[in-house]
Amino acid sequence: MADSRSTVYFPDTLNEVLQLCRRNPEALIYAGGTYILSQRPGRFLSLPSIVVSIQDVEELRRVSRTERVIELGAGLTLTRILRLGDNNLPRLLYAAVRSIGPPAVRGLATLGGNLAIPGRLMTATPALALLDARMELRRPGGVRWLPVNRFHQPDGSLDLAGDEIVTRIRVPLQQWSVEVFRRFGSELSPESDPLVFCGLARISNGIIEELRLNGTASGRTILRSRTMEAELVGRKIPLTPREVELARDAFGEIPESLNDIQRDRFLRLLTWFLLGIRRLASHPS
Amino acid sequence: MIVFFTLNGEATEIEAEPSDLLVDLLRLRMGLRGARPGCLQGQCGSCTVLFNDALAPSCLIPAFKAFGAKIVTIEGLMQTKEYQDIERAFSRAGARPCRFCAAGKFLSVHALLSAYPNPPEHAVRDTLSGVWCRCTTYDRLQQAIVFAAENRERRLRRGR
Repeated sequence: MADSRSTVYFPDTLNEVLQLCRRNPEALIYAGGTYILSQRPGRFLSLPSIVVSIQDVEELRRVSRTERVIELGAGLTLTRILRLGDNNLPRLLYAAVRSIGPPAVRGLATLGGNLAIPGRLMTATPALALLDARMELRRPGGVRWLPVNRFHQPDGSLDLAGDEIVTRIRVPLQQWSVEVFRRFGSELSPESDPLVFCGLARISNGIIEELRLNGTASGRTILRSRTMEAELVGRKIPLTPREVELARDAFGEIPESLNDIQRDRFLRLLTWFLLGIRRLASHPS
Repeated sequence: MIVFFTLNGEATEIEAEPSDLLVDLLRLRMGLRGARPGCLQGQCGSCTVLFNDALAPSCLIPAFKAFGAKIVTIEGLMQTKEYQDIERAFSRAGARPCRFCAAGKFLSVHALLSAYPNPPEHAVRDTLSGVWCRCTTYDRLQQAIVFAAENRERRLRRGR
């Protein structure tokens, strides 16, 4: 029934976690554990020989906020993040986190865990990538900052060494006129045709100052066209149907990995977002 | 390993394998049958407990994660005045959850009212989405939540 060969460590400080990671690069770093548990093949959980439980590390649960950024500890549960409220977080991130799992799962799942699943772009990743968030990766005696959009490698691996852990996520706090998040299906069930769509726009005097738009399909393919975004900057809103059509063309080819349902949904959302940008700016959703 | 935790307000210790699931420990070792294993994926809400004051599915909590935690099951909640507020509200609204989902629904409503004394509609919907069992209509559950919030407010006003 159980794996009695497992040794579980309960470090209290980040330094202890890093030392354990250095000594045991193959150890399982266990935060919320919701993904690990949901992927177990049967009823029972099989643990590796060494598990490092980071639930008691207070440094990983800190929140700090300045006028320009908010920093979220990677060990914060999604429930704790939502308790910060949508006035303290970018609305896009708040909506993304709120869409994850049922409330009970959010009480266990952590932001770091949602980001650090190899080969899966889970729900928070596209939202944080669009917000230009960066993540702090620590190892014994070293630290580096990495943009969220570079964390997942094209081959499905993570840009994370064996003795490194994700410690915090720094999210810029910028003013956006439009912040839209839509999610269909779940990345964990491919038969639900999972798709995430995120859109940001800053409008000033009826002109698009900045526009960002991305999405993920099946938790694997990321969709973004900086060419299209650049073409729309400086345009007056509302965009005309002809301008939206040109923008769709500028977006380029939709990857073959999307099935027909995902492709259709993404293009409809793209069109809806661009055509409705003025309405969305006056009625944020 | 010996796992120490606070269960329904009492210091508890139990010998368990690190990978044993909390739902099994509660039901099979401690005789607390309120949390029920359902989907075992944390989605259906039937095994819900309060874990460090937040809702959590006990089927996704291995024994080692419970180390040092504060856990409240439906049996613990039933000893409180907050439970009476909710229970009376469910009766008044005609909402009678089945034995499979009652623990999840009562604990979810308790967590909701702890976070929002007067819960906004989006929070109510979010809470109800966490328990999949369809034994009770959502209209009646929504009504029960409104009544429970009133009961709680009235009791607190009386200073009890």
